[in-house]
Amino acid sequence: MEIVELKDGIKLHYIKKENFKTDCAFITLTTPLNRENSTKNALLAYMMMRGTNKYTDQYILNKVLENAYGSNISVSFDKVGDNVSLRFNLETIANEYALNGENILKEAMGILFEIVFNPLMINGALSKDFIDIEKKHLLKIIRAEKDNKDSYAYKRCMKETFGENGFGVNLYGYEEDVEGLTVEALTEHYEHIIKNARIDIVFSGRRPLDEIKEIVLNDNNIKKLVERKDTLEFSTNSIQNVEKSIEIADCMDVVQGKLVLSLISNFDKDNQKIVGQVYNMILGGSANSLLFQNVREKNGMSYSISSIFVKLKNTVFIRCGIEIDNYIEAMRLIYNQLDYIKDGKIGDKEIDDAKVALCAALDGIKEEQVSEMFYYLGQDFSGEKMSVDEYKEKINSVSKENIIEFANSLKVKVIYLLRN
Amino acid sequence: MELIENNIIGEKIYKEILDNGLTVYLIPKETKKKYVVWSTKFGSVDNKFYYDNGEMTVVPDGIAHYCEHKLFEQRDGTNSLDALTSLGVDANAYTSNDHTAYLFECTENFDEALDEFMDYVQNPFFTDENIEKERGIISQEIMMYDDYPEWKLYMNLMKAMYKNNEINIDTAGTVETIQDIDKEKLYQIYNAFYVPQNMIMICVGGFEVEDMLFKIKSRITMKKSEKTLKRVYNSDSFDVVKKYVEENKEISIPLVAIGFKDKFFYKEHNEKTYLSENSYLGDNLNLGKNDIELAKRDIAVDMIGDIIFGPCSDFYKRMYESGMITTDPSVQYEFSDNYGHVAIQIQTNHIEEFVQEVKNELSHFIENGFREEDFDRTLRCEYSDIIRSFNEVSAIGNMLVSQICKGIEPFGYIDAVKAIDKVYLEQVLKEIFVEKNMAVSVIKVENKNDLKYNIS
Repeated sequence: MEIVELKDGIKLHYIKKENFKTDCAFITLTTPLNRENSTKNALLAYMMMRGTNKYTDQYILNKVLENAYGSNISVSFDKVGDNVSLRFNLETIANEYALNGENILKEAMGILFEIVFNPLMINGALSKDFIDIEKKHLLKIIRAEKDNKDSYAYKRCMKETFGENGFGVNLYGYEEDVEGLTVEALTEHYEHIIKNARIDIVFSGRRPLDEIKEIVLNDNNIKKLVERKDTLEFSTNSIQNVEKSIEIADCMDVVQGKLVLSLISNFDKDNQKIVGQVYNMILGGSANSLLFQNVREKNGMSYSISSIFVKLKNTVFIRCGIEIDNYIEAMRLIYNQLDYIKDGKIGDKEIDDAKVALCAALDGIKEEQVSEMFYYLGQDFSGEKMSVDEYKEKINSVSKENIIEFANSLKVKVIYLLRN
Repeated sequence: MELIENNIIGEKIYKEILDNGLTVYLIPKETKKKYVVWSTKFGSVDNKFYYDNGEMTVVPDGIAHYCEHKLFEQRDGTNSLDALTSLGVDANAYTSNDHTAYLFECTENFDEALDEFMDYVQNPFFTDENIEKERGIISQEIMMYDDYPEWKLYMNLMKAMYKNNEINIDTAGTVETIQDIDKEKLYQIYNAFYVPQNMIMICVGGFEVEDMLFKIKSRITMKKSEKTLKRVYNSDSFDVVKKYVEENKEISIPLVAIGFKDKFFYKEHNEKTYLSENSYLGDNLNLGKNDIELAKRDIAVDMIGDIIFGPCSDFYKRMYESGMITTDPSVQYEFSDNYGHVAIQIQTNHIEEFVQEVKNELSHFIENGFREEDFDRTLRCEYSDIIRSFNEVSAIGNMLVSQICKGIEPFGYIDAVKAIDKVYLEQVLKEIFVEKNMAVSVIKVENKNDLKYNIS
């Protein structure tokens, strides 16, 4: 992987990958996430997909992309600690498969740059027609979040854990904000993002670095970008001393209860992210984990149960689907697993299994085109650059004492139940 | 070994039929990963069969899925999923309408993983106790799916289109039907369907082909079954059962699915049930019968969906700008030996208008045909989708399992895409997308007040 600093605050990350049939690229615009800008971010991103000054509506864009061998451009949002990345993704088949020698990649990347850096402007403002239509669509998207009950329960717990700050903010924004967004406000927000957001262009595929650099550096939209200071904070922002956990339940039309717990650590040591990952794998990261074995397999309390460690927030989430009448018993079993680790009862096998699983996942990263792109970008965000072998070494050096210490640093902050 | 090669996609597939009848496909790739999937042609639709000329056996709904859960249990009380996870191997299994598959993926410890994998698939161990324990877990899984409005939409559509066809059986069964599953029944279906001539194994990844074949052969213990197997399916009318069904769920925007049955897969029978022409998977694999035709038809439906309803269509432009839809409708073609249908699905607050617009649009294209530029553009997308489908190791394995279980040989799609023309597309459009073949399933919005309260 190579990194080219195009300008201050704008980087090209290049991965040579010859054993896939696709070339992949994405552009991330990363900026702090807060309650005030979340709705604007979402509306802006969807609106940017509608048309550009060169391809003035999405039908023209779609036709151009389909003619470029079905090249696919999409938009998505990622939380990176207390920041958001608006990510514009491109996937196209490699030039070698073009039937008439076309340079599919160059054309497709040109379209990608148009979408991100040259949205349709009319008299210096974003298109009101586009904004009006996308407002209606964004409202539907926000309302539809309740339709996926698992995901909704997770987001509710996240919100109750962090409040409406940073990581707790809804990526798609808030219904009450949508209607009031004006053309002027959104245009101003776009200009602010383009001038100030950290910009990363990540490529993985067959074309050599020189060719990709040429495509990028010769693009007029890229040439117009100004330098910016990278002021983003990615470090862990832990909440100290959780005093008391709170239990919350919402009622909806569900057959099965969706239970989500958040546990926050005030651990503040050098290798806390690595220790946290090993802990999480033992707790609920695989079919061998304590939650899977004891809540699901031995007691039949759940079909789906797992835990997630959000590294940049030093927080573990436990998620499971349970029969609502079994809530008390399920909680008892979950707490038993937490205490099992805290009390140091875990054995070598549980620790070894977790390390083997994590190392296997790392080995797999280089064999998955898009996963590898995220791996290296994530390292660049956090400033912790490690080769896969170095990462594996750190995982293997985690001791039982480290894990127990981490376990004891965790406090349950929120217990959330979505029930009928 | 037979070498099947395609220079357009740039892949080689090695095929070998073992002495016991198991068909193995090996696809070497430049990667450290290895992916193995072992599938039996036995799914949720296979609830009746004759085995060894005995009485007809009828099994409870959901048994194929139940067996998939239980096969990981070992005689010594351990679980093979745990053992594979301890090796750092990513293992899983799934059940569909027409097949069940067991799979794993790894970069290290392949030989040990293959040992465990081939051991548990070939050596079932069902006990009353381990079956009883699983009932609670599978009940939870069924309840989880009951909360997915898209799943309810789909199952309701199947019930609206098919009265007796086994496609309208829920893959996992119901909480009630799985109560009747016991070890005797599990052994019955295992002995009948988990036989090498009814199974295929696909290996994709970084390996030497001869070496991989040797590894597999040296771990095979299954013997070819000398018994006859006849699948039994319910006869059904081609007419839909109900033109419209709806259910209320607490969702934000209604869901609608418009289904069209495809007569290509329909045969009329006089009796209540009939014997399928297809028994063991291996009996049909080498005949190559209809495989290009099936692949052509599948591609044609995809292209029709794209041209008429896709992101470049006038339909999409109109519907999107009016606010009726936020994304292009999904158009899915599902087929196997005894069923075939297309489902067009979308979220919209304007159900009746949407359905009418779909009908109008289809009528327009049936009358006027497709534009040459739309055909050419969409065909190019199909070509690139086929290229993409050979990109990633596990995706290749899963794709080939699904295709082969339907009787489509590897590279069938790249051969078919060359044979498609506009006339064929218009023919398929007129055959499938007509109102008399149509049913509509809707999940409507049921509003309940959200109550938030503290429970401590």
